[in-house]
Amino acid sequence: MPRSLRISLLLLPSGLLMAVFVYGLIRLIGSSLIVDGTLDFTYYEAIFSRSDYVAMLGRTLRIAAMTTFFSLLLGFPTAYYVARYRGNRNILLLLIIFPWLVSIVVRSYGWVVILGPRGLINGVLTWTGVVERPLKLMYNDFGVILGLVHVLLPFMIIAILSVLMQIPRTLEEASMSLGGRPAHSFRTVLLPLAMPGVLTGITLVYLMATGAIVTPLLLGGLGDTMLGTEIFQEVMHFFDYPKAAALATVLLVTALAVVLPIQLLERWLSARLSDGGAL
Amino acid sequence: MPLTSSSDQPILQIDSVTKSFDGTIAVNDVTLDVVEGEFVTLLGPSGCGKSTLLRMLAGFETPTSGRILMRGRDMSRLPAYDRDIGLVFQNLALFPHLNVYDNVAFGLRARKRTEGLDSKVRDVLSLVGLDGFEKRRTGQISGGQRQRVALARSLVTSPDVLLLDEPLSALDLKLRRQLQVELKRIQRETGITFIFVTHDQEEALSMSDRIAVMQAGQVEQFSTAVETYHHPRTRFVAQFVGETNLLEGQVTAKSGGDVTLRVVGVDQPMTLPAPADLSANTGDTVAISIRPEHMRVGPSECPALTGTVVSHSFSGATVTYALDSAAGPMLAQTPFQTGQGHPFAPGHQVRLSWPIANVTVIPA
Ligand SMILES: Nc1ncnc2c1ncn2[C@@H]1O[C@H](COP(=O)(O)OP(=O)(O)O)[C@@H](O)[C@H]1O
Ligand SMILES: [Mg+2]
Repeated sequence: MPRSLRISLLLLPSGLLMAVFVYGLIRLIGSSLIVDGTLDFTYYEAIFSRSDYVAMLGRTLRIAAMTTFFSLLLGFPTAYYVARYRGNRNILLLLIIFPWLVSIVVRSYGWVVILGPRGLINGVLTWTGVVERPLKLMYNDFGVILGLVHVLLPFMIIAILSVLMQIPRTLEEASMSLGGRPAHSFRTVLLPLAMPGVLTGITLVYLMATGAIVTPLLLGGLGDTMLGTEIFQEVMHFFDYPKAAALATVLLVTALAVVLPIQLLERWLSARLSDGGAL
Repeated sequence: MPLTSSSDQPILQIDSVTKSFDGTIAVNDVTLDVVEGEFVTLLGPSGCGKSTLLRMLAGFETPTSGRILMRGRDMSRLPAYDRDIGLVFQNLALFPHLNVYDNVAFGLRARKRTEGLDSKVRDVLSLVGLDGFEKRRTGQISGGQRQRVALARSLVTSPDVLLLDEPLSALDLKLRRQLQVELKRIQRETGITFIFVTHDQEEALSMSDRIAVMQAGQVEQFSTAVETYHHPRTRFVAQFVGETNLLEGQVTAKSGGDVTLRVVGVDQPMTLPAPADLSANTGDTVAISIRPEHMRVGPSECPALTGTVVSHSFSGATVTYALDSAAGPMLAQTPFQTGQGHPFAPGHQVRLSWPIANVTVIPA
C-alpha cells in the first residue's frame, strides 16, 4: 500500500470526527440565526436586551479570568518544582493527573462536603466558637472559582511543565553566574522561554472555565449561574434549542475574542524561540 | 609571567574541599592555590570530578567540607550571583531567545552596570573576533562562533576568575587548535585568571601555566606543564600525561641524595638522584618512567634492555617502535636521518637504552 494512501486511511477517522464537529457547529450557529428560513437576530436581541443575561455573560468571563489567574499562580511554581525535581518525577506527574481518574461530579461534590454550611470548615469553626453562624463559602463565586481551579489546575501544570522540561537548568545557572539574582533570572530567562507553555495553559484553562457546567451547577449560587450552566438548562429543562444555540454562539465568540490573540502571540513567540537554535 | 613565587598572594584558594553526593565522593580533599593571572588546567579522565569542582567554585554546589577563598575571603556559601566568577559551560548554555549582542550584554545588565554598555559589548565581541555578529541569533551561527559568544558573554564583566568547562571538546580538531591559540591570546590580553578543564593532555600541556592532574576526585599532582610532563610524581600522572614506559624496579641502596635501583630486565643497576619525596627504602619496589622520545635504539654503554621490534611507524622525522622486552612492552621514538637506510624491521633484536637524567622514579 502506498504511503500516502496509508496516511489518508489513518486520517479518515479523525476527518470524520472533524466533519461531524464542524457540521454540528454550523447547525448550531445556523439554528440561532435562521428562523423560518430567513436571517433573524431575534434571539440575540432577546439575550442582549435582558440585563440578567448580560450580567451572566460578564460573570462567566470574570470567573473564567479569575480561575485562569489562580491556576497560573499555583500552576507555574508547581510545574517548576516538578521540572527541577531530581528524584522520581513520574510519581509527581501521577499525583498531578490523579484527579482526572475521578469524575468531575464527584470532585466538585467533594467541595460541598468541605465548604458547605454543615461542611468540614464550618463545622470546625462553629464548634470551636470562632464564628456563630456558618460562613458562606459556597453557592457563590468563591466556591465556583475554587472548584474550577481544582478541576482545571492539572491542565495548566501540564502545559507549563512540558515547556519547562525543555529548558536546561544550565540556562538559569548561566544567568546566575552572570550576576542575575533569582528574580532577574526568572524575568529575563525562565519566563520568556516558558511563555509558550504559559499561553497554552491560559488558553486551555480559560476556554474550559468559560464552558464549565457541572462545577458552577454544584458550587454556584442559584441566582447567579454561569453561561454554560444556563445553556445546559435551556436545553435539558426548557428544550429551547434556538435560544441555547444563540447563547452558545455568544459564549464561543467571546471566548475566541480572548483566545485567538493569545494563540497568535504564542505562535509568534514559538517561532522566535525555535529560531534561536538548540536550547 | 610569575608563576609560583611565594610572594604572590593567591587569588583563589581551594582548601581541603570535599564534595559527596549521597555517599559517593565526587571531589576528595582537594587543595589548590591559584595565582592571579595564571592559566590553570584541571586535567583528568571523564568522571574524575572536574565539573563538580568547577561548579563549587562557581557557586552551584556547596562543598561537603572545606573552604573556598577568594582574595582571602571565604566564599564557600556565597550564591553564584554574588561571586565575581565567570563560567563557560560545557554545553555553552547561550540564551536561545536573545541575539548575540543581548547574550553578551546580559551580565552587564544583570549587574546593573549599564554605563558604557554598548562600547563594552562591542569591544569584547571584537576581542573574540565577532564584529558584525551583534544581530545574529544564536541558532544562526557556527559551533566555533557560538563558542566565542559564550566566551565573550562571561568576559564582558571582567570577572576575577574565569572557569571554562571543556569548552573545546565538541569542536573538530582544526577549529580546536585555532581556538586554543586564541584562548591563550585572550587570556594574556585580558590578564584574567583562567581555570580551564579538559580531559585532553595535549591541550593541557600546550595551554597551561600549571596543571592539576585529577583522578577519582583527587588532585594527583599540581605543577607546571613542563614539570608535570618531565617529573610525574605518580604512576597515573606518568601514564595519563603523554606516553611513557613504566618499568618495575627495586631499591638496592640509598646514600646521600642518590638511590640505586635494580630494574627487571636491565643488565646494570642504575644510580640516580632520588626525588625529595621518595619514601621507599632499600628493598622496596618502585616504578621508573622513561618517555619514548628518551629511548635510544642501538648499541650503548648505559644501562640497557634487550628488546624485539614488534612494529614500527615512520613519520618523517621520527620512527616509533613498539617493542617486546623482559620488562614488558616498550615504546621508543627515535630521530630518523636520511641516509640511515631503513628502520629496524619487526623481529629484529635491538638494545634499548636511556640517559639517566631522563629517568623519573615514582613510588610504586
Ligand atoms: N548532581 C550529582 N549527583 C550525583 N552524582 C554526581 C552529581 N554530579 C556529579 N556526580 C558524580 O560525581 C562524579 C564526578 O562527576 P563530574 O564532576 O561531572 O566529572 P568530570 O567533569 O570530571 O567528568 C561522577 O561520578 C558523577 O557521577
Ligand atoms: Mg565534566
